[in-house]
Amino acid sequence: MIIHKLTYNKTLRITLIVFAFLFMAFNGIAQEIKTKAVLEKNQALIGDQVKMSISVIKPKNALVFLPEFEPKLTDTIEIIEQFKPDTSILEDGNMLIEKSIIITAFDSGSYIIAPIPVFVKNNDKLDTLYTNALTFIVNSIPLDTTNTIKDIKLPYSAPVTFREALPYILGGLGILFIILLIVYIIIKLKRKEPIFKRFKPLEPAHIIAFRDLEKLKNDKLLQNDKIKDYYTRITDILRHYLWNRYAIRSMERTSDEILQSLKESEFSDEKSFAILKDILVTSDLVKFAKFKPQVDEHEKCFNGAFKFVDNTKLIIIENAEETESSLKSEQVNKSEVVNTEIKEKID
Amino acid sequence: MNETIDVKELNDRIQKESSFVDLLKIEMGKVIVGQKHLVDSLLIGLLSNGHILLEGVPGLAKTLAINTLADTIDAKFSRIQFTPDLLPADLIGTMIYSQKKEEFMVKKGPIFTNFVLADEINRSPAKVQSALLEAMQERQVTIGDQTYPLEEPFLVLATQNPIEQEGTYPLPEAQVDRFMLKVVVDYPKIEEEKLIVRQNVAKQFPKASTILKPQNIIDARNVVKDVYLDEKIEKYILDIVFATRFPENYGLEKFSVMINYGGSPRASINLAMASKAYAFIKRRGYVIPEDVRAVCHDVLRHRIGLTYEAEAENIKSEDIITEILNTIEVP
Repeated sequence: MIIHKLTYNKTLRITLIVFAFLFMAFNGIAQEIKTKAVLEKNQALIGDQVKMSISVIKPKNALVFLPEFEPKLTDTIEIIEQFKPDTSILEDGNMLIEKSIIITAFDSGSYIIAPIPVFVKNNDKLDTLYTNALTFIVNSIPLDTTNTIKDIKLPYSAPVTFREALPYILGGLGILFIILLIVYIIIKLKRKEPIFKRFKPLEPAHIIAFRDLEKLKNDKLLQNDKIKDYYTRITDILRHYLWNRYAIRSMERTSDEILQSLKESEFSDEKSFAILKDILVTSDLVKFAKFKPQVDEHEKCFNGAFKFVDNTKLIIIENAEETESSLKSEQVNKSEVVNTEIKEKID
Repeated sequence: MNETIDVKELNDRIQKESSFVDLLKIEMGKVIVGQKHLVDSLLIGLLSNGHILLEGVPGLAKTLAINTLADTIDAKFSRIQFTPDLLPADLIGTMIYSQKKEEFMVKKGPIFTNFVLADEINRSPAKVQSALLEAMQERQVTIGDQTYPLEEPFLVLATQNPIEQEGTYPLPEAQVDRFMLKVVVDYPKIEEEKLIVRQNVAKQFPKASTILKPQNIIDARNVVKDVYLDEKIEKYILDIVFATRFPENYGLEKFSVMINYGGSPRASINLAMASKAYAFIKRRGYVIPEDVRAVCHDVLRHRIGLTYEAEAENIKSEDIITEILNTIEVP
């Protein structure tokens, strides 16, 4: 029994020594590292955002691990935003680490924010320290029951920015453009004019036609008995000329349609019209009815094509006033022809 | 193709042989006011041995035009009103039992005639349409185990109404293709309609005189075949038909998604034949591009299958044909 009592006392002593040692050790860490949690304000209205700061003061060589918060701090307190920890050196050489979060709550009441754990490592010792607990009171909007009930206020209208208005401006301009385009197309269709005018060739239409006719002459198709090809080429040259000169889509039109289009375009030179008609009729006979014209007909057709182009070519007046006076004095209808070289050929 | 054709001789011959055309037009003009395109199309079908499908709202003288054409030719004429309860036997005939002779006898149907007017063809079921179209194609009818050739000239003129489509049986594409022309009949002009009213309220309705015999039509058909069709025109016809099949090859990419199927080789044949007949009507011995363009819509409008995209865009086959004609180079 005595022996047992002695053993018990010994065990108790050892236990007390161990506890004392541990208490001193923890106390040592606790004395070196301090944690604190602070609310910007302890009371707020429902939905108000309040800043909460967690600060840790530690020796330089100690490591501190601040917690990353979930979207909710508690069941009722939500975290709106978390900021990165901010560090600063204090006068006593310790380091202050501060982390801020923005919290809010949508239920009124008094809430306790439990101590927040902070993990520290100092001199190879790991420990968990806790901040102080906080009280956060959320108040509902105070109702003034003495006043009469008022209607719900409409949302405030914020001023419209240019960025917001830009899509509408662009849309409006687009619609305006489409309307103008439709009006333009309708006018062109009513006037039976081509909707999109063909870009004029770099060379005047008659220059191209004269050159092609000259090439046709040099190709000597008639000498090789290629009469059909010869007449096809003549009509093709004239059709291209009519397209370039009057924007008549003659390549896709028949002879009758070409003549009709020419009439509709207020072509007034009856003599040239008759020449063209004669060429087209003769060519159609050669092309589609195996008609073989007399030899002099070939020359007549070729010269007719030359004459038609020459009579209808676009005249560019170099000096309008001078030409006008010369027209009056000479009583002629034609002014200076652009390409004198071609004129010489025709003469 | 390589033989030398004397255009003067050919034209003289056509002038002589086609003289009845003007007479025929005058006689038809006594009864039919306006509708020149309809009359020309009937003549094209008659001269090129092709059947015609007429489409138009009621009251546009479709039936009257065909009746009048039959009156001008001393030929047999039958009018069959297509109804939902019509049977193939009602059309082609059947075998009936003769108690007197104690044997089955052939009772020929109304199709055994020169001109058949199939009125409102889309009101009868497919089996009747099929029987008619078979006879149109083969030009013969089989009743029992006997085959009977149809009389020449044999011309079917079918009408259909574009409205009141409920309860109708639209002709299948393959069968529509057997009609050489699909002619759309439009309303007359106001001046023409004034004459129509006067004509109909008068005491006596005018009547066309008979001026031709069936043999004249058969002879004229042979002359139409002689009308010269140049290689350039052939190429033009083929370009048009191929453009309905492969529009992207002719700079008409926008139609690629709109055309389900284009014109068949029968379209090319019929376009060439109709162009020849049109040249004949115009009393010419050779075909020119104008002839092709004049008949192109009637020959092709029922041979182009449109996709849902085209229907959604409200694009009709006529629009496609017009665009093709405006795009392909005329020889």
